[in-house]
Amino acid sequence: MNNKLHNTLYAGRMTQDGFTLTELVVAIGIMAVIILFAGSVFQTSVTSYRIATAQAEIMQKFRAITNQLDNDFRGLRKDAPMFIWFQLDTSDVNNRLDQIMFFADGDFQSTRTYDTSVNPIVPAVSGSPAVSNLARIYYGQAQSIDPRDNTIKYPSALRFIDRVLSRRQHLSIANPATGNSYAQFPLDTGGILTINPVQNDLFEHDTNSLSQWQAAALNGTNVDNIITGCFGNNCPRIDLTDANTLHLLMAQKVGNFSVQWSYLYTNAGQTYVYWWPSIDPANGGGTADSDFGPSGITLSQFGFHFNTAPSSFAASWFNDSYAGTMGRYYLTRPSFPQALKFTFTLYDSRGVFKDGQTFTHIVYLGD
Amino acid sequence: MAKHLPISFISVTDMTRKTIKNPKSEIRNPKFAAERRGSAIILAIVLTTLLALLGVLFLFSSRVDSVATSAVSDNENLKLAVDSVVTQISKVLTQDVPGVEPNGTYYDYPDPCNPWLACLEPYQSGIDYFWRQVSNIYGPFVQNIQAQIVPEYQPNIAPNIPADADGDGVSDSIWTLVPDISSSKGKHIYAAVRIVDNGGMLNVNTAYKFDPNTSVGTSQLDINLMTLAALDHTHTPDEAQNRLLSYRCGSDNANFYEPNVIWQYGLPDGAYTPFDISDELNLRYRYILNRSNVTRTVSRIETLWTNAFDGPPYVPRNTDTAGSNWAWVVNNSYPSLCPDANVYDNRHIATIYNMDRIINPSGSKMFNINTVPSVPDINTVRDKLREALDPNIYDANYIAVNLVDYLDADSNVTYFVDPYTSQHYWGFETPCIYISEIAYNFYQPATPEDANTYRSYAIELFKPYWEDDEPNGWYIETQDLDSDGNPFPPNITPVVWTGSRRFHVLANINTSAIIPIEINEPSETNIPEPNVPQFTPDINFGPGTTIVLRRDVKGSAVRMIVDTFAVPPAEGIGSWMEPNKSNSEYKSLERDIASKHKCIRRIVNPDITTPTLGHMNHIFNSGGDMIQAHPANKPFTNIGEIGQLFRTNAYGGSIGPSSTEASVRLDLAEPNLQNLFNYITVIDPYPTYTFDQNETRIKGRININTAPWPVLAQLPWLSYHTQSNYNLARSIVDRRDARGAFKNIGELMTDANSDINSMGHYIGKGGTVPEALLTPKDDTGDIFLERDLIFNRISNLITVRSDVFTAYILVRIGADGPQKRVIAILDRSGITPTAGGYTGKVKVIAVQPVPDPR
Repeated sequence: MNNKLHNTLYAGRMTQDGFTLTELVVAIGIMAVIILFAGSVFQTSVTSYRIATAQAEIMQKFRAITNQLDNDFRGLRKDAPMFIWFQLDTSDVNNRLDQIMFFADGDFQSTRTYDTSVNPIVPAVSGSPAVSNLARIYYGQAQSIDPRDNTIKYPSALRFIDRVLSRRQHLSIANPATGNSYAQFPLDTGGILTINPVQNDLFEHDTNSLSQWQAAALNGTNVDNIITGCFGNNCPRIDLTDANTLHLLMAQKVGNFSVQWSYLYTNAGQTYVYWWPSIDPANGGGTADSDFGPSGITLSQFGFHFNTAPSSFAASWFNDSYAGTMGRYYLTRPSFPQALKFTFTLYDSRGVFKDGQTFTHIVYLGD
Repeated sequence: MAKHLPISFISVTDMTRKTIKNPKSEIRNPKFAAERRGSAIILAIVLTTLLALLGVLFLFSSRVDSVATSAVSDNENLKLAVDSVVTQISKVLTQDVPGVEPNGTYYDYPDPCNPWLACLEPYQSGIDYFWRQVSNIYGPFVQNIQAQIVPEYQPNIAPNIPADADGDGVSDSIWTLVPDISSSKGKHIYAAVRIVDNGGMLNVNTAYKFDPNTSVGTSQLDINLMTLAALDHTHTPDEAQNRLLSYRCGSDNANFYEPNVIWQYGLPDGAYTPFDISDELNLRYRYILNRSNVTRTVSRIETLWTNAFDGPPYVPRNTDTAGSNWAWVVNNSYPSLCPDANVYDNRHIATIYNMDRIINPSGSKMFNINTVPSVPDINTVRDKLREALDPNIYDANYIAVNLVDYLDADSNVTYFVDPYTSQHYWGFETPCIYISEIAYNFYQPATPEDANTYRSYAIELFKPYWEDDEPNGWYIETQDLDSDGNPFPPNITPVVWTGSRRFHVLANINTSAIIPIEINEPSETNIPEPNVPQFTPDINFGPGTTIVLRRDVKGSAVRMIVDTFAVPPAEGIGSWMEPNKSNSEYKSLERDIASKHKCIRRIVNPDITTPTLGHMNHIFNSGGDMIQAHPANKPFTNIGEIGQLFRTNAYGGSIGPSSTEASVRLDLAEPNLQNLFNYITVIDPYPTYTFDQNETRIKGRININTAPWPVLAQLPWLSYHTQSNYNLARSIVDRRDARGAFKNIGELMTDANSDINSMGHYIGKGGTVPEALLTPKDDTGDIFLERDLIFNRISNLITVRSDVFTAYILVRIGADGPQKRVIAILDRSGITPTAGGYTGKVKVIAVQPVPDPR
């Protein structure tokens, strides 16, 4: 090797002062190799930086959602009804657009301020926030703007990345019988509740107490009205240009949101945890056994109602054929689930994860 | 690695240079050498820069990662601390459940045996206020802590200094170190905890109103809520009452509120709208949060009675002159705000959720004595009673048979032979019938030619209670003497009660020696069928013999003796049986049966009087030594009624003239007996309201160990005789402050020197009781029936323990770190002791972060 080098150097000196072609080629080659190497390393680190940033963003969102879920479910009132709306995303059978509503105690404060001098009560710029120990809380995907044509669409019509997770809270406050009273919300006419969906989005209060909700949930008509008034196409409507809808925003770019409840079943002496409803309960890769399919409920949308009260209303589901007769079925399974499983797919704002990242979060409700 | 690369490249260059053997070339072409050296440096610099860039990027990405996985925040630490404290409270509450720990106390009263429990109210000493006890969940009891104003955030705390757990601005607890845990940064965690008993408050879901004409204390609805409602001066009592009903009955039928709400353990059965957890949380810390816009976001209960809960006085935190306001709060005598010294500030007066259980000191369900008639075996009843009673003092067999006959609807005497001692027991049973009079006429004409003697005899029986069955299987046993003064064999005459009146006369009348019988008792004209006298030659008796009234006993061949009447001997008073030579003269001996006396021990009038057969006697004994008794033949309305039972045989002369009520009855003032109240009950959801035989939970009763006097005063009858005299309620509080916990509810009857014992003497002290409630109304003196009356009326509605508590928790990281307040409502009614342990767990009804005052 020394001889070779010596020869080369000697040869160069023999011909002329300067770089030989060989020298240049070798030098450029080395440089190219180094640059290529450095470039790829650079590329890798840029990519990993982008991934890390996107990951951090998703994790932040994940933590925000799960913390909020944990906080809300910590105060879950199991003596009150809980409603779940199950909806398949017809564009992708593995995606769901589920919605859940329940009651929780805690220290709740409204996002917006209320003006006490206005009747009916509406959120106002002046005034003070409403506070309460109890709230009706809703999670689900919202109607929001499609950036492709700047119109507000139902979540099922949005691309996954444009979907928005919403949290709606209604603080339970008393409705004074006299004086500066608030208009009733939900409207209670002779024990029959009706929920105005526009008010449901606008307001952060209920004038109904927990026990009034409990009593209302014993009545089938009321349950129908509650489910139709709050779920399905009456999911929250968020207009990011309208400050009066921002209190509904939980997280943007949440492509899939599903809720499943657990129950144990025993087969051949073995006890299994089963999450209902599932697309592929047997994990066999197919959807033939889907709880939404022919072997389960032959509907792509239905509401579900848990109540600890008299057994006939323990758990029932409702189809979404609003036009026809509201179908109601009863389950014989234990009424209140031990745990809920939330599955959601989160997307980062730069589109690093094309398919988003899917998380599951299990909330244990106790026994 | 990255650092070494450039160095090795340079060394290669150096090595290359050294291999050049021709020094000339260096001299001839120095430029060349210099350029080559420079290119290597450039190369090195470029490479170094690239690598540095790489390093920076690498650092960046790892930094992003580290931000994403940031350390556990203080908030997480505080949450964990709260969880740890709640767990400890649950543990302490569990251990305190009767039967779980061998040395545990049955009662819940803030004392050294219950160091975790804090007093609801402070006591005043001079101008200062002190907590007799504050909670300590980690160590021994802490007592006599002054209630002082403390700031919202106390700087530099240390263990054992006073703390303000509930955030009202006044110290009510002490700081303690939470053992065995520290924050993620190694700091100590401090906690201040105040646990109070919800059982010491009025339950606004179960209480209703007290009506002296109908409230007998059988239902929680008899606890008076209207005094609280009256604090809202904007409504009349009727309006307040209707508003309460409209709030909590919702659209459902108020008449069925009790079975469908009070006795439901889950949701109400129907569209009722009782107050809920949101009201409870507001009530529990309402005085911390006197919010500026109360009209907007108050709870329903505060909307119902605005002034009752939200009016002044305020607690210190919300005013500048803190100290004086505290005084208003606790002594309720601030002139301009509380002109009426009896207006209480309502800090801890109401709750929506309280509960206790009918369990005995070993943790199993109390014995519902109203089920006794259906218990087939007296041994079982006796054994249940023996759990509580000292067998050396009380013969549980007698109490058991008397209990059965007091409760069952039939008129059959319960007869029991103790299998161990072979002793016989008879229960005291209806009908109650006594020998009330004997009459005699012995006429021997003075003319010697008529040697005949004419004798007439009569015996009057008296059945004081209209409602009792007519006697069936009853007999009169009489005996006459022969001419030598020796008794003939007894005559046994069946009693044939022919009418529906209370008097029945058996007579053997000779027409020459008439004894008049008046069967038309003027006071009983509304009773249709007069008892026709039963004439029979078998009725005759001689001086010194005994007339015996017997009745058949089911299951026994021997007829038992119900009553006896000793016919006076020939001498002395017995001279009344001497023949009357001149004319026929009838005489009688009577016992006291004055119209309202229904006593089982009859006093014989020592004077011979004219017969009053078939109607009221002449004698009337008004003394306080009467013993009045009657088996109700129906279930107890209240457990205090147990004082009506006999502890001995109530028949056959067992109750003599020297007997006192205390010697023959269950005397509620007797400490040995009072323990029984921890073992037996008559308030029981089974079988009226639930099919679950093991259900023990009772909502809405008041724990007399923790309730402040304004709460106690709402018990039925306790403040009845004047609405503004609360001495009886106050004396209960004074008594427990002075002498410690009530170990059972019966101890209310113990203290002879206080007003408590005068519950019974209450009537004599100016209270007037509607006649309807003293059933049946009588005019005897202060016997047990009257003495026990008030206690009896409240006995179903009071308890000495509780299962629902509120914990105010303040935790802090480090001596001056961040802190957090929460309120937790805990229900331990699910804990049941088992052999060597327990099952179930303390249910956390709510854990709520308490916001800053706003």
